[in-house]
Amino acid sequence: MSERLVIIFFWLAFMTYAAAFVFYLYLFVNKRQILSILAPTLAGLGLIFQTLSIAARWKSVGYIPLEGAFESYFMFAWALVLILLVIEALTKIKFLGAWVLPFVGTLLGIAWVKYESPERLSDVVKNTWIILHVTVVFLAYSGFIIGAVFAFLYLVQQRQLKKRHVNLLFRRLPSLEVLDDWSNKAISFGLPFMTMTIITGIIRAVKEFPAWYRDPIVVTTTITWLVFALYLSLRYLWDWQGRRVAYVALAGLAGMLLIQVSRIFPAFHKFG
Amino acid sequence: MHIIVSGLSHKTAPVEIREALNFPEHGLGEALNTLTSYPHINEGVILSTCNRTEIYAVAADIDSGRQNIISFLEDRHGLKDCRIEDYLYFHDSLAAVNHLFRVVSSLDSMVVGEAQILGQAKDAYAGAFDAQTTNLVLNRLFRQAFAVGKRVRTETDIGENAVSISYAAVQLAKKVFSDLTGKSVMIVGAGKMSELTAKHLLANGVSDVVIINRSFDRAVDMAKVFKGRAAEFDNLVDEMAGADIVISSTGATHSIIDKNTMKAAMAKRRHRPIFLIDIAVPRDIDPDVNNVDNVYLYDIDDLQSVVESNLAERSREVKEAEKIIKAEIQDFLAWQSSLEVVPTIAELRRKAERIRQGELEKIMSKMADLSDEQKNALNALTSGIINKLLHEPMVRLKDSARHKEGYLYVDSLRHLFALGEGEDEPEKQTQESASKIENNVRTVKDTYGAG
Repeated sequence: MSERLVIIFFWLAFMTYAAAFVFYLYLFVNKRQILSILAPTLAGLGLIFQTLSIAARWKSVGYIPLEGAFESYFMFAWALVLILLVIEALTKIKFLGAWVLPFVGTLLGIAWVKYESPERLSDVVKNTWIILHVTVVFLAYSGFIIGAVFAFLYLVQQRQLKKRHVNLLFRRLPSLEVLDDWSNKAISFGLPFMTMTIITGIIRAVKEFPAWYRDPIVVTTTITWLVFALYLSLRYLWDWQGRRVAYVALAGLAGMLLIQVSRIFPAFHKFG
Repeated sequence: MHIIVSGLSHKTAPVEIREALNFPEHGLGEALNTLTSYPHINEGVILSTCNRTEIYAVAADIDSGRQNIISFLEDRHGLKDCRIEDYLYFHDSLAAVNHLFRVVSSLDSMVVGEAQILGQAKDAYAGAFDAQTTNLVLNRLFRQAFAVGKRVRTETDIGENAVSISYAAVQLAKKVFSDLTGKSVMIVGAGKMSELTAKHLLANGVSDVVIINRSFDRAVDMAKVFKGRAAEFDNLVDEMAGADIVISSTGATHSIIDKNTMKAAMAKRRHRPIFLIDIAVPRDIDPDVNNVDNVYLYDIDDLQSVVESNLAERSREVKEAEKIIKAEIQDFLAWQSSLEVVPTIAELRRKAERIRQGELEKIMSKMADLSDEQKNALNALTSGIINKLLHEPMVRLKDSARHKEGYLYVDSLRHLFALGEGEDEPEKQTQESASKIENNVRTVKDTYGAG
C-alpha cells in the first residue's frame, strides 16, 4: 500500500515539475505577473508531492530512504528543487527554474529507471555516518549544479554583450555581476558539504575497505572537489572572475557527470 | 450618457497652441467646476501636461457635449477667434475609452513607453475627484485606465528598452553591473553626447565622476558641473583602474586607448569588469580592446544598432500593449452596458416573477385541496401585487432615461435589488459575447440619446 503511494506521488511530483517548467519557459517570453507566481508555486507543489512520496517510501522501508539508486537520485532531485526554491525566494531571479528543472527531470528519470522495490534493499543506511554522508553529498551536488547553471548563463550573457546581440535572451537574463555573484555563492555553498562528504566517507570506509582510495567514485569525487576548490581559489587568491572561472565551474559539472559514469565500474561503493 | 474626449497633443498642435491651452494646477478645481456647469457636461476630467491638454467628459449628447467642450476651452483661455477647433481631436464612446487607455499606457506619447504620463493622469483624476466633477462613469473609467496603464508597464517591456543612444549606454551598463549605485564613471574629452550620457548614468545611481581632458582647466570646469573630480590626461591608465564606466569622446585622430594600455589598466583594477563607451569619431579606443577579458566596448555604431533593435522590440511591445487594451475595453463596455434601462427593467421583472413563482409553489404544495378557481385567484393576486409594486419604479426609471443623470438611477436600482449578482443572474447575461456587448453600447446611446 505504502509503496503504491510512493509511485503515485512520484508521478504527481514529476508532472507538476513538468508543468512548472512550461510556466517558467513561458515566463521567459511573457512577463505576466500571474506566471511569476504560478511557476514557483507549481514547483513548490511538486516538492510537496515529492516529500509525500519520500515519506511513503520511508514508511515502507522503515528507515530513511537513502539506499540504492532509486532512493538516492530521488532524494538528490528533492534537494535540488529545495535549493532552487530557496534561491528564488531570496532573490528576484525568476528564471532559474527554467534552467534547473531539466536537471530535476533527468534525475527523476534516472531514479525511475533504477526503481527497486523495498524488499531488495539491505540496511546499510542504518549507519549514522552513511546518513550524514549521503545527506551532505546531495546538498553539495545541488549547490554545484546551480552554480554551474549560473556560470553557463554568465557565458551566454557575456558573449551577447561582447558580440552586441540585443535579443530576448539578452533582455531577460540579468547582469553579468548578478550571474557571476550567484555562481560564486552557490559553489561556495556546495564546497563545504562536498568536503564533509569526503570526510564522512573516509571515516566510514577506512576500517572496512583498506583499499578505499582506489575506488573509482572516490577518485572522481576527489577530482570534482579539486575543481571546485580551484574555482574558489582562483576567485579569492588570484582575482579571477567572470568568463575564466565560469569555465572552471563547467569543468566541475563535467566532474560530477564523471562521478555518475564511474558508477558502472565495480566498487565497494554500492550507492550513496 | 456618452463618454467623450476632446483635446490636443504634440501630434496635432504646435507648442504655442499647447501652451495657450494649458491648465495650471492651481486653478484646476475651479476650471473643472466651470466645465461641468455647461449644460450637456455631466462629469469631467482635465488632463493637462506639456504635451497634451485633454478634456474627458460624460455628456448627455455627443454633439452638444463636443460644442460645450469647445466653448469651455475658448471661454477659459479667451481664444474666441483662434479657431482652436482645427487643432482639436475628438473621440466618443468606444473610441474615447480606447484613447484614454492608449494615453495612460503611453502609446500616444511623444516617446512611446515613457513612464510619466500614468502619474500625470492619476493627478488629473485626483484633482477632478476632489473637485467632485467625476461620478459613476468617469470614476470607473479612470480607475480601470490606471489598471490598464499598470498592466501594460508590468506585462510588456514597453518602457524598458532604450531608444536613444545615451539611454542605450545606461541599459547596457546595467547588463554588466547589477546596480549602478556607487559605481564610478570617467569622462574622457568633452562633448554634448558624453555629458548627456553621464547625466543619465548619474540619474541611475552612479555616484563618482572623474573628468579627464587634454586641457586640465577644461576638465576642472566640467568637474564642477558634475560635482566630480578632474584628473590629468597622463593618469589615464591609473584612473581607469578605479572607474567602472568610461565614456570617451576626444577629438584625437589616433586611438588613445589600445589593447596594451587596456591590459595594463585591467591588471591594476584586478580584472573587475569595465564598460567602455566610445562616442568619438574617429574612434578613441582601439576596437581590439573589446577582446580583453572583462572589457565591454561599445562604439557609436554599436549603440546605434542597439537602439535600432530596441525600436523594433518596442513596436512589438506596442502590439502586446494593444492586446491588453483591447481586452480591457471589452471589460469596460460590459460594465457600461449594465447601465441600460430596458434590460434592467426586464431583469427586475424576471427577478420578481421568479420570487412569486417560488412562493406560489410552496403554498400550493401545502394546500393541495385548492380548487382551480382558488388557484387562479391566488395567481392573480400575487401577480397584481408585484405589478403594482413595480409599476412606479419602472415608470420612473424609464422616465429617468431622458435625464442626463439617468444611469445613476439604473446603477442604484441594480445595487439595491442585487441585479446581475450571483445566482439570480439570468442565463442571458452569462452568455454575453463580444459582439453583443457592442450592440448593447448602441442601446445605451439610444436610451439616453434624447437628453
